[in-house]
Order: sequence, then structure tokens, then C-alpha cells
Amino acid sequence: MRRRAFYASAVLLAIAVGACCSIPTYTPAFWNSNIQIQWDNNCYNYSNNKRTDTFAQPGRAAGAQWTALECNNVRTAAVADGLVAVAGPNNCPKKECTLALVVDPGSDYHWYRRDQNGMWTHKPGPSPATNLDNSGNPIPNPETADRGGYTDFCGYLCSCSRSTEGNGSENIN
Amino acid sequence: MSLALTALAVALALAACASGSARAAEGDGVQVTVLLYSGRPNPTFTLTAEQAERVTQLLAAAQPDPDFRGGSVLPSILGYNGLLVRGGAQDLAVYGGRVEIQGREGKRIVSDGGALESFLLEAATQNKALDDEQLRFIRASRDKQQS
Repeated sequence: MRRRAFYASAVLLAIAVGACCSIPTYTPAFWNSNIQIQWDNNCYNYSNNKRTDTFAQPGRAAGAQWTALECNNVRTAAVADGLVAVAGPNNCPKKECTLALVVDPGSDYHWYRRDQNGMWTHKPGPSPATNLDNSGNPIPNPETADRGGYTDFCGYLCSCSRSTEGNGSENIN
Repeated sequence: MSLALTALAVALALAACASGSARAAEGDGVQVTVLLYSGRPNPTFTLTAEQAERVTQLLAAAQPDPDFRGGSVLPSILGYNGLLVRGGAQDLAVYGGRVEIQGREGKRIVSDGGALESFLLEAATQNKALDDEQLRFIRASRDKQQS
């Protein structure tokens, strides 16, 4: 009986630890120094801080992948994965990571994440992760950053990550 | 009991064989991915044997680029970002007149004046991997990069 209680406590502790969120630091070496990680993980992987090596798509893990390249559709797919849409950049719970979604209408979508230092970083597809926008400037605000053709700013979502790079908690694939 | 275990083992072995065959089939051919998109999957096509041979020739003609200081030849920008070549003897990243060669010995960078990039984009057109709008976008991006 005591052994059963011990195991139950251990399981609960593991769940509690697993549920803890933390905001990642900018650690591009994790994403850029191995070609499988760099080439097979995209902006959605990076922003959720989760390596899957599958070029993860919003909603795919939940069986509800995006069907149109416009804000509402991609955001709804991401929410199906467990992300939470919020009204502004400062509305996520304290330890959760804030993500920004942008869309090149009819063509593609892109994600940014805000790191521990308050600045935004991203990973353009198979290219290296970076803390710079298309004009080579740091990104204090993704709404005003040079985003190339990704002209539609779709808003902010919250994602639970872990402190270990590449080990985010959201269920994406 | 032992009969059931034997049947299970045979079934697993057959499944493993089938899986291995599928991997071998996927491994056939050299795959090229045109990097246009950050989020959605990028256009991908398979080189013909003749096209793959031409890639080998162009690589052989390229010159070492010891002056390259970046981590990757692929730019970290939103838009056209070059091409990936996978499934051959070496994996390649191609952009802006440079080729990043990923082999057993690690990474090395060569310069080719953009010959391989132009050839692969032409191959993408021949293989109908890109539509007219995508081709226009890539041409405009390359023109802007060279200006």
C-alpha cells in the first residue's frame, strides 16, 4: 500500500514538473549547428521551441491542420495544437512564451517567439534561426519588423516551453 | 503458445522487410527542395539521372571558398532562400553563388558563380515543380540580390 502511494506521488510529481513552463533564451546554436535540425524544423518548431524534424504544421498533431493561408485559419489550427490566442503581447501567463503569427496572404505563414530578454527571434524555414529581421535589424516588435511579404499581422498566442532548447511542451508535429 | 509466438515473429519480420523496402524506395533519387516558404512545406522534386550527373559535374568545377565566414550559405530572411539537395553522395545547400557541402568529413563551402543554383532552378522548371508566380518571385529575388 505504501509502495503504491509512493509510485502515485512520483507520477504526480513528474506530471507537475512536466507541466512547468519557462521562457527560452536565444540559443541559435541548437538549431543551426546540425543540418537535420536546421533543415527539417521550421518557424513553427522554433517558436514552440520544439524539435520534431518534421517541418511541423499548425494543427497537424491534433488532426486539424490549416487549410487556408490566412490569419484565422492558421491561428485556429495552432489553437487545436494547444496554443492559446491572446489579445496582446503581454497577456500570456508569466512563464509562458509569447508567439506572434504573421501571414503572406495565400502563400505562407510565419511565427516569431519572444525570448527571455524580451526581444523576438525566428527561424525562416530551413534557414538558420536568427534575431534579425529582413532588413538586418534586431526585433523589439514583430508588428513593425521588416517581414518581407508576410504583411498580415495575425496576433499573439501563448506556448508552454521548457528551459531546455528544443524541448517545448506543446503537442506539435 | 510457441506457435503464436512464432507467427508473431514472422509477422514482425515481414513488417520490418516491408518497412525497409519503403525506405529504400524513398532513398532512390536525388531530391531538390526550393526554399520559398518558412512555414508550409516547400516545393520538392526528384532529379533525373542526367540532371544528377550534371550536379556532380558542376560541383567538381566549383572552387573552394576559404573566405566564407557565415554559418550557412542559406540566408535567414523571409522569401526565396535557395535550394537543398538531398539523397546523393552529399547533402547540399545552394544560394548566392555558394554551395555548402555536407559530407562525412563535415561541412565545406565552394563557390561556383551561381551555376548550380541556376541549373537546379531550370531543372525545377523542367520538372514542373514551380508555378509561374513562384518562378517570377524567385527571378525577382535573385535580381535584387545581384543588384
